Amino acid sequence: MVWCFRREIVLIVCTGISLLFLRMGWWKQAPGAEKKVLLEPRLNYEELIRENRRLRHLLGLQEKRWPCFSFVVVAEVIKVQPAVWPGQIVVNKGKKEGVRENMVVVSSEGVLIGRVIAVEESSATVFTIFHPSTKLSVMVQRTREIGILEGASLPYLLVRYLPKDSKAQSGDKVITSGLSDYYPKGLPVGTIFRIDPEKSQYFYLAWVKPEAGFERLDEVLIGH
Amino acid sequence: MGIRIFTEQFLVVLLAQILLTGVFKVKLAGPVFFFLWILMLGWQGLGVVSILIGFLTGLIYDVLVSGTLGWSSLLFCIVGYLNNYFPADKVMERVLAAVVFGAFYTAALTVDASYGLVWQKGEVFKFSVFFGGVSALLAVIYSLFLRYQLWSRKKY
Repeated sequence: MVWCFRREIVLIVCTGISLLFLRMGWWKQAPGAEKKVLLEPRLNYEELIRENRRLRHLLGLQEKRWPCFSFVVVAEVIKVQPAVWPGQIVVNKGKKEGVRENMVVVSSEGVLIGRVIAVEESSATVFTIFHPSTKLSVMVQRTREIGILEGASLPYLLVRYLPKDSKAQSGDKVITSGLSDYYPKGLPVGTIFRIDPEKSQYFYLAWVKPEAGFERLDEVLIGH
Repeated sequence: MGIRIFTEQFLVVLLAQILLTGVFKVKLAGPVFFFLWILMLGWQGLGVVSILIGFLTGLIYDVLVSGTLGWSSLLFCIVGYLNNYFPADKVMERVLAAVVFGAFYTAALTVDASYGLVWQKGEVFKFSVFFGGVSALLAVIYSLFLRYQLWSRKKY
């Protein structure tokens, strides 16, 4: 009798354990711990050297004077969701380190990643520029035309409401305009890939290739 | 299924997941070989094994991609279970199963319990169908590989 329901029994047990893992949220309790466990026994020197280089680079960035930030924290990315074009990431710095909601997150190259949405004691959730709720004012660096960037149309970003007489063209850099409530002026966002007229014909829209390497996010800077 | 064949398959899938995902990537979206393996096990009539393997490989995959620990294992278990009830004797049926389950898996990956979808609905649909298509293609290739493996051992 029980044998007839073996699949169901195995499914219930496995899903139960999976839900337990989800409920415990191990990545939250021990940020970065899994990385240490993987690295230490193997003495993966190459990985350590690369991490050292990255951290030195970030330390340099943290010590560097950021005209747009008065406060900067270096954080490690401990969760990305989904794995490609992440709409949301979790970092291992939280209230204890001074991270607050609406702080801006940039990559180690100083490129815009997103904005802090929720802060826990030792972790913070970040909505990236790919998230559907992302809308921010950006500027075409060369022509100084303002548009609204939306986190849509993966793997590109969409800049709407560029003026009809826009001189922007593919290859132009897009930066934050400083007109948004949270994002300072001048942060690199991406490069224009294509420009099309909007359906209404009153504006142009631009497809932007993001500058940040979302496929290799290890450490980020959080600032305000 | 012999332990030896099973171990070989695990190593092949693990290596493929680590080394080949980058090769098959199209605009950063790569296939999940663990997922294909679960489907293949189900098609061979190994229902219980596919659920168990789904659980274990899901945990491995979550660690590999820094995902939420437990989310992929939960989805793989469900896919492994549902796959047992999906008719998949012919190649076309298997392709359809890979598309359906691949789309389900991709759509589920973009959901966060606290914030809902982390992509827009249109993008979720587009990439679910895309991932399902890639999964189906690789499932056919993998199916042929398994047939060759069994044939070469004269157990076919």
